Amino acid sequence: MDYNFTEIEKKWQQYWRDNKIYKVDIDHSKPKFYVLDMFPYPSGAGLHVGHPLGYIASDIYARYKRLKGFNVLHPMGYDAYGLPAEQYAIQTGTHPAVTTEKNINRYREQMDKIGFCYDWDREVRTCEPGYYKWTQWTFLQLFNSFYCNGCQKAQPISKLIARFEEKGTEGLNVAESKPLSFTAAEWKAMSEKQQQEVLMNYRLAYQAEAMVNWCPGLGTVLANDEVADGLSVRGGFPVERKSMKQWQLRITAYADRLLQGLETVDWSESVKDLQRNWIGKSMGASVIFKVDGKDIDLEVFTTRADTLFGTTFMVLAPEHELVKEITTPEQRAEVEEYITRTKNRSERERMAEVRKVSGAFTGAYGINPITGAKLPIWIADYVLMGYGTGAIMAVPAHDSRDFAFASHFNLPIIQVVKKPGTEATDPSTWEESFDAKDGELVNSGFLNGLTVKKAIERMIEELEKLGVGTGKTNYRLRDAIFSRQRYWGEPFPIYYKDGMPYAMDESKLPLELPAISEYKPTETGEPPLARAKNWVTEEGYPIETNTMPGFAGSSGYYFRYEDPHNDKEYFSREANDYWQNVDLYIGGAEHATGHLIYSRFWCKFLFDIGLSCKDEPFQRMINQGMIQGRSSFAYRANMEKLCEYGVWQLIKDNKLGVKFEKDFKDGRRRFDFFCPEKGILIEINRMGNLEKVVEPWQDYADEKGYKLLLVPIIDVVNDFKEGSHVVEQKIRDLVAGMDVPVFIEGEAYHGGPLFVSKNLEGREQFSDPIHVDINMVRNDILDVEAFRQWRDDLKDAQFIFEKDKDGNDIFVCGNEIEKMSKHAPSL
Amino acid sequence: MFLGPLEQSKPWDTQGIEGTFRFVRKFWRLFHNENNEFCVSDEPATAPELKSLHKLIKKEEDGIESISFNTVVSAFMICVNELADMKCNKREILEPLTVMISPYAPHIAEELWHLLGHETSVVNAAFPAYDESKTVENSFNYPISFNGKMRFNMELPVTMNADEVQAAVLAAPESAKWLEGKQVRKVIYVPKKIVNIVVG
Repeated sequence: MDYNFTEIEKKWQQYWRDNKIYKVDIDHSKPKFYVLDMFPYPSGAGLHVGHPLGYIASDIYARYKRLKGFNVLHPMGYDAYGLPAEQYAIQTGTHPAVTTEKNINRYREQMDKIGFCYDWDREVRTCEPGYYKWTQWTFLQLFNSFYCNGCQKAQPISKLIARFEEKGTEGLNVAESKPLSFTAAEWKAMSEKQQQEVLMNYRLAYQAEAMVNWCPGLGTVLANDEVADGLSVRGGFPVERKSMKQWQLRITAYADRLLQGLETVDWSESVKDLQRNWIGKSMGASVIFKVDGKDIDLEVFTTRADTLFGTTFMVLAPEHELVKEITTPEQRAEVEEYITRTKNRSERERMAEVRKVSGAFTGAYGINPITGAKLPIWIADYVLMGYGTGAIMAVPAHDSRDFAFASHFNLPIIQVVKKPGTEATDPSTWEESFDAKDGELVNSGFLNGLTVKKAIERMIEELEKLGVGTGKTNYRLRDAIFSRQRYWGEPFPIYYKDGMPYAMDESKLPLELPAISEYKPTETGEPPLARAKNWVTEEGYPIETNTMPGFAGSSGYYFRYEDPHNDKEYFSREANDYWQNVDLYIGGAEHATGHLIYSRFWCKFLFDIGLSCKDEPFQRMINQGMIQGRSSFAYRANMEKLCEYGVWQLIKDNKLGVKFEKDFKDGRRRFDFFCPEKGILIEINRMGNLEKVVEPWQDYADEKGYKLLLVPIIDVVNDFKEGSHVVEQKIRDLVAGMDVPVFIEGEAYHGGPLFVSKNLEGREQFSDPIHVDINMVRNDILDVEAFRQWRDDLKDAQFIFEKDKDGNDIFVCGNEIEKMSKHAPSL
Repeated sequence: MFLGPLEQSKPWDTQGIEGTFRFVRKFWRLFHNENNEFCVSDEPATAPELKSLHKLIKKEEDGIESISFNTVVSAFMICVNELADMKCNKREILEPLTVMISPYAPHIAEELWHLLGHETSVVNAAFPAYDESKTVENSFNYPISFNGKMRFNMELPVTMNADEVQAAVLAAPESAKWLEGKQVRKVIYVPKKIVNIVVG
């Protein structure tokens, strides 16, 4: 052996470890460079093939930068909180920390074998108190902050309180759950509890009712991607939509900055587009519709205020708070039935299934604020509560979902936009709506003749003048739900007094995860932490029993690598001034709308409160592709089809001097081949089948004056194998006018299954692919002996080979590329 | 990394691993004689050897910055093949090459780096500086013809002017045979193409 890699690799790994070759410290004589991998969730399965792909890429880059004179920060750690360890704990009673530790050790061992240049002295684990102290600390800062829209920055909540004391909400321009209005005197007159409730409307980490995917079987809230077809992906338990009090992060306050920041980072356009769509900024108008005969305002958000004249009905989300109030007694039963039926569909399903039209009429009518027309109000689950106001004005002529709804329920359709230079037509003849945004207004009073863009502006002006609407920006982005009813996560440093949540003092951090006897929710449906003994503050106030979600620990881990052992601060000013943000981030693109949004939010917040010197965490990002699996097939011959194909090759194209036709039919009689000139009928089949038909078919042939030849497939197979030409000779004899026995009874075909090599001519016509264990296939060539031993039914397998370029018999398999399991960590 | 571009999805394929391993062994053999003894020469490198090295420096810098690691791997294979063909075992080439391969193959690089006599890790070495002048052709191997018939080849610096070329060719020992008893009527010189001498 010339290069003894096993020995040499071990030797140098030891050397690197002993001499701490990869340890880095702040060094102001050199420029810094920060190369980061998305840290893995340590699953029980060990590293996946996709992990090293990204890690090797970052390793090359980090080593290269170091050779180029940079001081390179290249750390690794573990996203250690996750559901699998908790599920395992519920089943076996093993503490998730034990499972996690074991898995981490395995990951480390595997990574060490590859020889990465990580500075392991900087390792972080999100489940360690020394780490999650800062996750909790950041939560407290969020809890104690609000967002000022004017200065586009997070500010301490104390400033807001001071402002309320001075002038109440007058002229307030801040991020809020809903607009509130009170004077300084009213604020001062409020009880402490009332004030706390008011502040929840502004805090960046706040508690509020939210529609969630509640899974009673698992006893927890699930994220949209953890639900499919109304069932939990894990366990398959029913999931229902339910309004619950949840911790949330006011990420929507940062929507505009999250959009603008994308222009400053070097990421792929596809990931940027995913984020832009996820944030989903749209300019539009909020319009007030009165409910006929009632003193109720229905607020609607629309991006197409120009189409108000074409509004023919309104639709509310089934969970809209006004549904109960406006539904007439006659329609109540129908509406309630509809609400129950649609309750358990996730938002994703509701948005995806646009073709299934369903809905119920409430019996109430809205009044068009411009035309005064009466518009029937329906409920339907294609309208989502979280987007806009949960109510829409339907314009069936110019929106495909409204069009489908109107067509299904026979509601009127009015055209208000036409292509320039054309005339309006009768919408009842249309097959689809006209959704284009470049057009000219018709049937719209004072908007007639204007372009869509101009008409939107004109209509907003009119609405504002009449006091029935305002121009408004809307986002698709929602605040992030931040609590889970699970054990294996960060506890909230929150206690309850008089039913209101209060922040614990920073000196109490880390608030460590308590030991509990069982890891599942309590019998009364409370989170597992409710089982903890003495889960109260020193003063005896109960501590929050929810825990934080998986993304809490992964949203700011890159900061902690800069100063991982600091127990006074998240990270020092000095460390952050030097290392700043990540220069190159490598990981999967599937985190585009999860981890990569939360991290940016986290970073912007830390920037606002003066901790981070940069407001984007990852300057350049590369998303590695998927490693795909390759599956192989062997082609199993259908014997009858194979033999038919073989015989056809002998007789087609006048090879025997006469013309044969395929598939001859006469009434219910069918034969494989027929020669009209000589009157020859040929049928190829299994012996057993031929025996059954020999008599009637002979009678038929005699009657018509045809000659009949029945060929058992074993004859063809034998011809193939032995190179004899018995079948061909029989047909030649018939063509020559000689008598040939119709059929010779003999042995049936008892051979094992027959497989044909991929490139043999006609193979597609007489074979079907079967999956083959890829360990028996090398360069697409099958190890036939291993194949025979693979399964009992294959032990007699026979093969028709092809020749390789050296003339050897080989059996070639087909192959197909498919996605291997998702390699990504659970960020 | 040789599976393909990092950002594209690609099938798992172990054939590539064998190819990579063959390459690593070939790289190792540049530093060793037939008996697998470490054997590196301190002679100065030739122009073609330096050219091969500097072409690779450029490819590696560009390839890593643009995250096209697979193109760097194939450039390495080309360079190592060229050096093997030239039987190059010169320190002046192999030392920088060891540094350059260390991001991709850190173990073998560390081993060779120490065999080259270094006592600190290759991780702390400096990436060799690219010198564009080393990659330009500074001489050309001219086919020399007499009356249109090619008789021999001659390596000449590309900086020579027509007169210098003429003088050099006529003075070459190989020319004597074709000039004997004849007079030079004309010399046709096309830079970086041919030299044709018309005699009569």
